[in-house]
Amino acid sequence: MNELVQLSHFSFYYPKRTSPAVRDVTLTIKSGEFFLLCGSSGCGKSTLLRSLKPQITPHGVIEGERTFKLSKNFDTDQTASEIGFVFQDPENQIVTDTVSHELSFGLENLGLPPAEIRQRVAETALFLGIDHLIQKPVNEISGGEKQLLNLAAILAMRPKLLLLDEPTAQLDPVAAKHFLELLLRVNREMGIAVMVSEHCMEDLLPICDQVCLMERGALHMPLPPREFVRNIMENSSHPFWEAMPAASRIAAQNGALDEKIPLTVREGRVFLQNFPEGEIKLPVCLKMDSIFSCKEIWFRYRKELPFVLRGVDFSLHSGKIHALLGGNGAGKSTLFQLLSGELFPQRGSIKWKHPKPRTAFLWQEPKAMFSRDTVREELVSQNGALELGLKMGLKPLFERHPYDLSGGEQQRLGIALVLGIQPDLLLLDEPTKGLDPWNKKLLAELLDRYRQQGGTVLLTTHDVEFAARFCDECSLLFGGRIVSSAPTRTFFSANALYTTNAARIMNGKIKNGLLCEDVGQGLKTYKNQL
Amino acid sequence: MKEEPIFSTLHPGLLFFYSLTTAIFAMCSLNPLYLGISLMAALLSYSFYFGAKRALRIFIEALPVAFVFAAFNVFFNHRGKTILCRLFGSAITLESFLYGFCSGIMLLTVLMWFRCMDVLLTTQKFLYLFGRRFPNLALLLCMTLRLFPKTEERIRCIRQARHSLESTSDRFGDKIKNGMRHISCLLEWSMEDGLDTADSMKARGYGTMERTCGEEYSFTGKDFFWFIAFLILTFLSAFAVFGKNSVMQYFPQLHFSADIWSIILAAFYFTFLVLPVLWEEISEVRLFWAQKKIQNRRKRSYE
Repeated sequence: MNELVQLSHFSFYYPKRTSPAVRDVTLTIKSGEFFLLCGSSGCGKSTLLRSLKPQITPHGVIEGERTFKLSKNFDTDQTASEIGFVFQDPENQIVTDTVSHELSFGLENLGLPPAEIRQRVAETALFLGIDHLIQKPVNEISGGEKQLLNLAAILAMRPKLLLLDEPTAQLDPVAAKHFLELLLRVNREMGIAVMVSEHCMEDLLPICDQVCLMERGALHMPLPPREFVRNIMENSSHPFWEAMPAASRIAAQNGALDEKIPLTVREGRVFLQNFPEGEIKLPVCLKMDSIFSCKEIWFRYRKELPFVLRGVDFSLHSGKIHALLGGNGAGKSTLFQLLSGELFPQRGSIKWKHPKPRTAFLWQEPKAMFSRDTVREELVSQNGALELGLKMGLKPLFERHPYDLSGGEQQRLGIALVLGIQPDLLLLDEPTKGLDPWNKKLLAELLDRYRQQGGTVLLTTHDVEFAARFCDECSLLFGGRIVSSAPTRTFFSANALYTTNAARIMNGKIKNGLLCEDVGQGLKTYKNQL
Repeated sequence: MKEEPIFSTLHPGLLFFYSLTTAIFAMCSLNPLYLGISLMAALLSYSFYFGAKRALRIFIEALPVAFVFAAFNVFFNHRGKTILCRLFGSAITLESFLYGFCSGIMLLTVLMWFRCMDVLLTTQKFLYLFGRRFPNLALLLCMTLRLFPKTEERIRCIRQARHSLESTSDRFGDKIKNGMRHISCLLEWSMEDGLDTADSMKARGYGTMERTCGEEYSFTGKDFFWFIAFLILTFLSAFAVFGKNSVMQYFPQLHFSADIWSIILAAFYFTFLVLPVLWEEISEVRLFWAQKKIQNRRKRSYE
């Protein structure tokens, strides 16, 4: 295989910084390879990816060498088509207003004749299965479709190397899986080399060729996935331990750290084959007082439109972290807006506990809340938020601009701001979106502390693993109704598909198993029973 | 809503020519005869593109605007001989009232025309026409168009996000303060996202060489036929609107005159304005008869 890009002892310094953002990286990307780049937020992944594409390399000082060997007349300033780049946010990278025009935008920039542009647009759209969207305006398609459009717009330029910076972080799980499947097809069927950075490694580890771990700007040796997983698993306090596939974690906890460490659910089930069966006891449901209860709520936006909520019966127990699960457009945000009093149900009512609890909302985009120049000013503007910010460890960020924070940091700032009004109930809309495992854990700790001080949390999420691990109760909103609502383990014990990967692996083996630790737990109870 | 009327299959150049001329004629029709015709045609076209219900609604909603125009004109324009009454010492005249009212109606028609032309001449066609001559300007226009729905969505987001942070007092000062915060949020957010878009453009080779245009429309023989038809009708309509066959004089005294020629010209003018509707309906009728013929033939062959 011929080499496409080569970095040797490459370092990158942002202006006026003494420590490099990317430190002494040596890396070779060969044609047709599938690279996974992982690392916690702010470790320099994006900078490294951008360094591999000359047009968007940030301003700064470059040390070491980077060589592009893509084609004979490759010019680092001119040739944009050979290396494609897909950014994290599906929305912002779209330039024009219709799907067809967006697809031809890059080709028009290359100065291709119209006939060739049309032909390339057609074949790309067909390959990725977005041909039915071609006439639509961009603002009428979903987030997942937008990201596919971005991929298609790049593919139409026929790149040899595709760089993707957390392309699925803003998508819901179904759209994310679809995107990754297509990405794999692009790699396997077109032979385009791919380098993708991603938090959610579970789906990508089994399909990639090489995994690189990045820590504080330095790049570890690229390893094949199984070896990479084994390396991380050997150190049980590794920050990425939690991000490893459920099958691997189960195997590691049960002392099987060999070359054949399982990665997928199927391999995990094979691993558990010879284990004895076990059971985890379900918690007993206690009667608890609720902070509010909804009775038969029906809601539609306009009288010409169908009902979004069709008889929602739902009550929230005080002092719990409650996850509201459900697909896109299931009506989760609508229910939140009803709770916040922005909308009113056409039928039914919400009965609040007396006295009416103070409620705080944090919507999906914490960005939308910020309007001041530094984090400190932002916190000072809200009563009591400054102390909270200090407690949450935001002090090192005080002089930064809120927009310069990472997604997780922005969210913590947002939570500090809304907790400033000392609410009894905290409503969070998709707080896990775009967070790495480390930040998810921080979020969970934060919520847990708030609950211990007597608060109640209701959050919506697509992230089943997060709900299973950190939430006390779960509800599923589907077809405008609450289909089920129960303590987390009871809730998931009834599901075979809509559940965690660990539960899928344990299905039929450990009854009511949900988390990776449950394998050991289940076995223990089994032994006790004997 | 009719997204692609058969008229829109014409060459973009013709569509642009048609949109421009009809808009200019509508702007210059202050004569009640032609104003009535352009209003009728506009209503007809509007209901053709967007449905009769919406046409009626926009007409009813916009009618008060015409009265506001009339009222304004009455207060600032005191010409005219027929004095209705005196207000604060100045004369309110019938002539200036009617002049203002007709201007209001004219404005309403022009707006409706623009909305209809929007369906015919999509951005992509517009870009095709001017994009090659002014590529950067064309792209700017296209990005601006995308900005509208995006900004709307952002405003909604900001309103929601700041809901629980802000005091809900109804005091005017607080409202102004909150509003200013929202605007500052919006600006900052938009600029930040703009940087991403700029990167995405650079990453796809924007500005490295001369751009081409992906869409291509060829000027066919059929287009030429329509071009000739347009020229003739434009000529006749221009005679109608700018000619002296029918004259409306507002000041100093209302005076209206029309001869038989002006009526004939008005008919041509009307035809020109409703051409897209006419073509669509004719093709529908032709399709209907063609199908009927086939059915009859089938019936006969069964017998």
